[in-house]
Amino acid sequence: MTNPIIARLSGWFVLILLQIPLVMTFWASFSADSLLTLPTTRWSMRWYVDFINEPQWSRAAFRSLIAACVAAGIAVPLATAAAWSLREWPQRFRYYVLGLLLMPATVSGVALGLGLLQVAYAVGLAGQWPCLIGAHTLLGFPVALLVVRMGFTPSLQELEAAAAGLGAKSSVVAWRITLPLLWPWLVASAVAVFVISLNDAVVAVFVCGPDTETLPVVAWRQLRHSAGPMVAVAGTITMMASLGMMGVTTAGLWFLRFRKQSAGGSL
Amino acid sequence: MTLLRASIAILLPALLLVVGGTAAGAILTVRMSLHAPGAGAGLFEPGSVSLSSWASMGDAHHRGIVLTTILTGLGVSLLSTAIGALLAMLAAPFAGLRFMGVMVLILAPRLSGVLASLFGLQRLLPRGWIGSLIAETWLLVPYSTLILVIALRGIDPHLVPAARGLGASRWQVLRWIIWPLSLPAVALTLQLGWVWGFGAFLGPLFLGGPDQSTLAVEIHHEAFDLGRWPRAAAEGVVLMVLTASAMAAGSWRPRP
Amino acid sequence: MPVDGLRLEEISFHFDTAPTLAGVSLKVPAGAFVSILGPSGCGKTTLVKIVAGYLKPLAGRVLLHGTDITNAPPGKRNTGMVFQNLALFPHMSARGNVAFGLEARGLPSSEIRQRVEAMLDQVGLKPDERNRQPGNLSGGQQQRVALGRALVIQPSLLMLDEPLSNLDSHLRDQMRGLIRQVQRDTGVTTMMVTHDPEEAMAMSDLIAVMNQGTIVEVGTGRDLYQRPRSAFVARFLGLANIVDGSVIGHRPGSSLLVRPECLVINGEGVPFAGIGKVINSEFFGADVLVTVALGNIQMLVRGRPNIMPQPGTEVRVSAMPGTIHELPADGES
Repeated sequence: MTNPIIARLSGWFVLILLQIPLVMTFWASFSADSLLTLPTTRWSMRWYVDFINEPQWSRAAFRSLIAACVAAGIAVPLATAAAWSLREWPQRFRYYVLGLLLMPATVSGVALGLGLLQVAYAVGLAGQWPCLIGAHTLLGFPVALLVVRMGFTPSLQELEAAAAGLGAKSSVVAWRITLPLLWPWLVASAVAVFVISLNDAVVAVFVCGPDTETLPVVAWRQLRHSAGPMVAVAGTITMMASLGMMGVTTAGLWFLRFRKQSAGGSL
Repeated sequence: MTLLRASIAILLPALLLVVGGTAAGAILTVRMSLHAPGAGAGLFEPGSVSLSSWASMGDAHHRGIVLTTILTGLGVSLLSTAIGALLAMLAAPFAGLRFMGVMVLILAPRLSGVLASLFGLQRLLPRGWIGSLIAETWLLVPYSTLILVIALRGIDPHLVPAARGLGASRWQVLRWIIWPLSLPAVALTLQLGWVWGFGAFLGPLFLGGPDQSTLAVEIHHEAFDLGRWPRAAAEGVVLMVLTASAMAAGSWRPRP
Repeated sequence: MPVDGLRLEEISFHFDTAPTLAGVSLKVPAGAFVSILGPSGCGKTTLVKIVAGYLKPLAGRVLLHGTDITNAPPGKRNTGMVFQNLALFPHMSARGNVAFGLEARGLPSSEIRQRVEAMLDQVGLKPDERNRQPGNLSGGQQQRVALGRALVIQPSLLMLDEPLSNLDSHLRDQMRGLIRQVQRDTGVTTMMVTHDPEEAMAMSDLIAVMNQGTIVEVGTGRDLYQRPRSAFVARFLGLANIVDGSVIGHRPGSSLLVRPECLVINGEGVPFAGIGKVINSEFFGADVLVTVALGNIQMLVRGRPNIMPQPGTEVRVSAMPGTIHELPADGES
């Protein structure tokens, strides 16, 4: 490799450093003593058992999961529609429309949360489910848009043009050519929104009411005062769910591509 | 022409959601800041118009908070760009599966473990400036690294062997080839670091003391702990203005 | 005993995805222009990378003017390389590109300036073009900068990796002449990698033909073209008619090579397999290529444009005296 050795070594050093807090949380969640002092060699699942038994926590985890799935379910179709229609726009407008659509990503989480709180309050939905779903959809939408856009390659355009040249209407082209070839990107963007929603701590705090508290919100309170074992469990569960989701989809997509290639197809 | 019109129609829901959510939120926040404070336990006085919240924006307390916000933003931006550059140099040469592996390691703290990271960081770092800055940088490093990795991989791969073959040492290659060609990306990373850094929230909140309160922390405090929505809204407007000017200032950066 | 310019001794290499190099050896006199000619996948690019120092061979040595440079890093071998895609630094001017190698060596700036200007004169870059960045230079100008950048450091060996493949034919002629000219003026030992036999023959003092990881034959262009030692080399260097000896009364089992331009239609010469029927005639501007079926073999005949028999016509094919070459029995096909 062509970088000076000091740069490489420090890079590795930092990379390992980055993982330490995560490893600590993982470890702490399995620690047997209640003070969560590390290092510990006494392993126990007691905190996980407590977690499941305490409705405040287990319900929050469940809500997080639901919210993440629904947000992904809404954000991805919207993003696909937006990405698809963006292609039809003339060059100069495209730039501005894209900028407009990516706005939520540029606003800081707190400002976004505050603004959405106002909106929810104004329509009388403060702290309700539509509010949470809407907020997370908004949060995930820019990323979903960027990911789906990557799927609209020039080769896809060529295939669509070929189909149109063979006489297919644009709706047929979209349904039988575009969508089937786009699906890995759709899956990737869904996973992205899912993970973003699951991990969101900032907007959720502003937007959740007592009925819709997600896991980060509940963990939040504990983090502020004295991080107890439940937080470690919550953190580990979120981490595992996110990584697991990403890992499973990556493996699945890779496996499917591999099978397609060996069967003579190309994607 | 009908395709264009159809595509506009398809675009509409997304546009509505995004613009509606963010713009409406911004507008309502401004409106909220102009309300009078709520009497008794109320959050605000509905229908009122008052500049009292804005009046208090100029006091020493708020000036201090704005200063802290700006300092945090600058510090976080510099740190995350520097560390991101180091990690990007590490990750960029890898290919295929190994590249993905390294990228996952880099993105893990942000993608999967905001909660987990904060929990761990709280135990590792002392509260105060160190804790606040490092924690917030922690959360931003994955993004800076991503931008810089993409930029590095966009450089013609033959340039480095050519330079080495002409006798340049590794440091010379870095300084004369890689650095100039990644300048636009570095500028972008610094700028985005500012923008995100001004909104610093989780770091200062969980690992900072009262002196490290940024605007975002203060907003949360006002809105939820003290229940004074007009003041929270006014602070929110200040934050939005600060963020917007950081983005605007970025238009003077070197273009690729 | 004069020291060779470049000597490769039993170079072996093996990737899992790239061709093996098996015991490649070559001796190049100092100041000579040698081409490594071969089809894609034959290992010529791998060989160049080893000579340039970007790859380390598994066995064998690379000696430059008697010095073993096998293990020296690319920047310390005193070699200069022109890459196939040129790899010009996009953010530096033409001057900056050429000066780079000298700056990396820490030479005083007055000397650098002098040498850079002299080199740019030598490669024919006009003064107003020298401050431009590669993006604002034409293909030919970029080539000149790449050449200048490699030569200004006064290397003992110049390497060119398919320098003309990306150019259109007019530019190719120009650059071919320039490269040869500059090479003669500087006297630097040069190694060029190419898959184009005409290029190799036109520019080189010596050609080494490679196939599947080994050098199959070395010789001048004329020797390889007129008297190759194998059917593979014969076919690679140009259009070839290779027939069994029995076709014109030689002993059966021998392979005979006669080039299309050495055959004549309806003219004088050594009769070649008698009367045949024309299958196809192609007009190439400067000449005509006629495919003739003689019995159960087909022959290609290259003739002047005024002789263009129609398909179906019967013609007599003869070979010009002294142009039939027997390929050695041990040559590979």
